This record gives sequence, structure tokens and C-alpha cells, in this order.
Amino acid sequence: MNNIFIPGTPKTPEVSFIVEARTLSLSGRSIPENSIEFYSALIAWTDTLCSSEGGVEVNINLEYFNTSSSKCLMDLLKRVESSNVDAQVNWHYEEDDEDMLEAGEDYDAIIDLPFKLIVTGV
Amino acid sequence: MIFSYSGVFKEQTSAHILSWIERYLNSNPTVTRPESKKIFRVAVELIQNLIHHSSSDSLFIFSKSETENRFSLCSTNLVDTKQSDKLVSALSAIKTISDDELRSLKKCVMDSENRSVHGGGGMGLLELAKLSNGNIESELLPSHNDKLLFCLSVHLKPIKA
Repeated sequence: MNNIFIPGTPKTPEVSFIVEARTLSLSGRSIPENSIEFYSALIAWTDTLCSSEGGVEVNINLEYFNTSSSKCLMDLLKRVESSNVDAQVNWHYEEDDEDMLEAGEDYDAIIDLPFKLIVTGV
Repeated sequence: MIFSYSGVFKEQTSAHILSWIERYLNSNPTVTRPESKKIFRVAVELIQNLIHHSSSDSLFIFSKSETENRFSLCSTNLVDTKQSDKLVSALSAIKTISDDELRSLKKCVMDSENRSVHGGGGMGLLELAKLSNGNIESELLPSHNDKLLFCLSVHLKPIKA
């Protein structure tokens, strides 16, 4: 199983999925026209990681995401949730960005995983 | 200020328009970052709706009214009668519910397994209504060949501190 590192673009997030650290990090913006195409490999990787022993840390630090990405993020988090690994989700949002804070709260309400909402500076 | 684009919407078109809007917002000192992000989010949803749901020429307008001190983003595209019935009923339902109910509905849709081919799942209108605090308007105008012109407008006022 290899690490995944994908540089960010104006429409897709920087992806840093590290096997050794068991961390899944997404940052930047996620507004691709076809989110399924972008996220399917990441979700498959998540499934594989979660089938092995050890905890998982998910770090989401997105400036923007479109509604189709929000569904894909939900799929990814549900895969972690259903695998029953020890997991921690860190949801970062910019100070004053109420939309991103509310989005984090909504994921927290739906997904049964330890969820930390972390405010960041601009 | 009025920016408009008329034509077929593709990924590259979307990238150019969004980049222009972002540059405009970043260079406008009267627009705060939270406002700017909200406007950008609305633009993304409207433009991507046009890419996914319109095969013919469509129209996108981004404007700022100085007198009403608000930004408006509008999209116009042809829909068939079947689509228009669904849109009218979805928009009517959205307009009658409170902000809390809107948020709960959005959570239900997020949690559901339904997906479109592009990964969405009927969340676009809900997101637009939520971002604009319900300031969303639509109109269906007669067109040609059993098609109707669907005009969707989203209005955003400055965020009060």
C-alpha cells in the first residue's frame, strides 16, 4: 500500500494520505465538476487502510467544497466509521466562516466518530 | 457591476468565470472574506448546475447593486416540462421552511445514499437557499419546442458583524 500525495489545484484539494502515520489529510478547495471521479481512489485507499490494525486520523482543512464533494466526504467518513477502527476527525475552519463551521457540526451530528472542530486564522 | 456569460458551460468555462469572480472579490476592499466565500460558493453551485443540467446555451450573471447593497447571481437554462415540475415543487418546498428545517433537510440529504452520476444528490438548491438565507427566486418562462427557460436568482446581502 502506497502513500498518496496529490498537489492541490484551483478545483481539487491537496491530498496527503500517509500509511505509516495512518493520517488522511485534505486541504485547499474541493470543487471538481465530477467529485466521484476524484474521490473514488481515495475512498478505496481508506477502505484498505481501515482494514489493517491501528487508529486513523482524518484532517479536513478545506476552504471551499461543493455539494458533490460534501457527499464524497460523507462517503469517506462513513467508511472509517463502519470499519470500527479508532479514529479521530479534525475539522478545520477559518474564523468567521460560519458555513464551514456549520458543515463540520453537521458531519459531527451524522457520523459517529470523535470529531474536533478546530478554528484557524485566515 | 455586471458580469455575464452566455454560451455552453464546460469545465474550462467554469474555471475562467470562477477565477474572474475570485479576482474581483479579492480586489474589492468592501467585501469581507466571509462574504466573499459565500458569494464564491453560490457561484460554484450555480455554474456547476449549468454544466451538469444544461446541454444548450445558458446564461450566468453576477452583479452588484449599489442601491440595494447586495450581490445577485443568476443562472438561466432551458429545461423540459418534466424537469420544471420537479424544480418548481423543490423550490416551493424550500421557500416555506425555516432555516433550522432547511439545515435538517440538508443533513438528511447528506446522509442519504442517493447520488447523481457526478456525485451530487439533490443538494444544490438546498445549499443555495441556505447560503442566501432563503433569498432565492425562480421563474419559468415560455421558450420553444416544449422547453421552458428556468431562471434562478440568488441574492446575498452583506454579513452583519
